[in-house]
Amino acid sequence: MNLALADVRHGFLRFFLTMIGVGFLVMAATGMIGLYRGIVGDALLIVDRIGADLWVVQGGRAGPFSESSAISADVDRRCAGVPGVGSVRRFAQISRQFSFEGRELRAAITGLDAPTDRGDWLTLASGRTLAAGHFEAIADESIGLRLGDRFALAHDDYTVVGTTRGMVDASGDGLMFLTVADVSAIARTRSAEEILLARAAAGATTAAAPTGSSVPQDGKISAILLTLSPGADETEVRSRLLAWGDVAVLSRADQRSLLLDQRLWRLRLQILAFTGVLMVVMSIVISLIIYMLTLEKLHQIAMLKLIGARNRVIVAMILEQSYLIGAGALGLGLLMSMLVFPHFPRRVIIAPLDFTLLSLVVGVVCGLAGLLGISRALRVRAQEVLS
Amino acid sequence: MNGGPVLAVRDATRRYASGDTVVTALDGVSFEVHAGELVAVVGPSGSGKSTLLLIAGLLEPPSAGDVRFHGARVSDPGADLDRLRDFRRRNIGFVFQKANLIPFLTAGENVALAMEIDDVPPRDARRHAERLLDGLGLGSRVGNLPTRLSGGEQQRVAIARALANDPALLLVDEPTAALDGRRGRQVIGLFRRIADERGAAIVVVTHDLRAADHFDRTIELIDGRIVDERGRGG
Ligand SMILES: Nc1ncnc2c1ncn2[C@@H]1O[C@H](COP(=O)(O)OP(=O)(O)OP(=O)(O)O)[C@@H](O)[C@H]1O
Ligand SMILES: [Mg+2]
Repeated sequence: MNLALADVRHGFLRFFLTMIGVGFLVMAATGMIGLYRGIVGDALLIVDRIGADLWVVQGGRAGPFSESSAISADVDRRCAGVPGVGSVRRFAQISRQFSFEGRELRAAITGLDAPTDRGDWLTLASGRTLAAGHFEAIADESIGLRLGDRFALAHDDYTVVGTTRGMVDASGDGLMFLTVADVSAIARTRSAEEILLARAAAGATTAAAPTGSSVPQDGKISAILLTLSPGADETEVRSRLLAWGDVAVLSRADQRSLLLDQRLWRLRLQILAFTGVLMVVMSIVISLIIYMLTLEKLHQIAMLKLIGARNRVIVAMILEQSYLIGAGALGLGLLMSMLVFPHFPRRVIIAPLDFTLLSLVVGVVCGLAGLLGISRALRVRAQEVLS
Repeated sequence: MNGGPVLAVRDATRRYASGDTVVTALDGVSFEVHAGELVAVVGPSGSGKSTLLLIAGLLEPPSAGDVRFHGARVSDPGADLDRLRDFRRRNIGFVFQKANLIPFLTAGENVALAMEIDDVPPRDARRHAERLLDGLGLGSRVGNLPTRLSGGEQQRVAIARALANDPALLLVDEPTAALDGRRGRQVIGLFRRIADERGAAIVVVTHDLRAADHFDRTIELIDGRIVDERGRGG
């Protein structure tokens, strides 16, 4: 007979509640790690999926995600003339708030350089890619729009022709894809207030450009995406582009590192620190529970010693119980995570490897907590049965 | 088995240091118990009866003197008692005032456990446990948890557990204290039967001499010394 199992069966409700309690901690840790993965995944979504080898951005800037970037309207044509450049696409992204059916919605509006890029690299949940040159949108479900919805943005009406699932920018705003021409148009429209302020500023200072920027704002294009033709030498293309003097060139790896190590650095560190705190709390709670369970059984353990049970019997009972709680908590934690996190506003990625590592940590904690209990149990003297 | 005593305690002394004073709980006690013998140990509270059982049961080492089983010395002041657990498991059964059953195991499991920890296969242990409980009139209680049993029934399960490995020596401390007179007599009668049928040597510490006629001998302790030792009817 198995003593650990018999005890669990006897006090099942109590064990179950304990497992649920620890399960919540497992769930919180899973959530933290998943949130981290989600934020990193969301931030890198565009960079990883859009399929650009090089990003040409405003000179001296680390745009367009880490810093704002605006480039002159002719850069795309200039790029196309550089030997070794395969394809050229214009890129623009702006955040906008707009109202739809009485709700205030937010979107990270991203330009697709149609007709070269109609959004064929997107994984659509419904509908189709952009077909017309204007007034069509592919909207992420997280924005709150559905296929066929018509909404007003700036001075025009747009129709949702396709939807994606789970595509957001680094701050969690759902992505909405329009043609780059539409995005430029939206970017150019300013509220009456903005215009007044800009005029006042222009009047007060002697600045030349009415927008306060030295860079031409006509197109509001923030970057040019290049792919290299097969066999092209990246360094050479890069040095030709840089020779113009008005652009900076970033590779996909540069963009990734800018996002992860600059823009999201503190957030990542913060989440990891929280995860650490949570792990410590979880370890303490698990240890306490298992230690208390052992203390509770000291009388029985003394009895076992009295009737001559070997230490192996006692050690097995404590360790098995410890691992039963750990395994139950992991199972329940995973189950609750899978039920609950999909309803959270930000993406929580439960990666199998992460959960495996978490399970290993829980396993080690259960083992150590078990050892703590065992060290106490082995100090019990058989005659304590009589007290 | 030879004809000598199962248990022989020689000049056992046990002192406890409590604070600055030293309490002598047992003071040079010697006695023997033979197979099939049922011996009572009586005496006022604090006279050292329980201490005597602890020393005979290899749960405490004597401060002086020794304990022999079938003539072989197993415990003396230098003994490491934790290492005598295997010996205890095979040779000594314990019954106390409280049954001390494992609360999350059924009556049958409590008894079978004593055999399983001695490497008896679970099925055999289970079957033997049922036989033992049946013999003690608890055949219908095998599957009950201790909380579902009366005090007397729990006590009998504890006796079955003590008998599980067929020990040569049974040490019993105040088994009747929690039972009424009639049940108390029944329990002592049970030990008489066990001594007769199994040939076990049994030492029973008791306050209760209403069942004195069952005992082969009575040892009386006062202040840690044996002051009287009587045979049956003597
Ligand atoms: N662990 C100990 N530490 C200190 N003194 C002890 C210890 N165990 C027993 N004693 C003392 O030894 C003496 C004998 O105790 P013991 O328990 O053997 O008496 P007893 O005859 O069983 O009494 P009772 O009938 O009340 O159970 C008592 O004075 C007791 O206080
Ligand atoms: Mg006593």
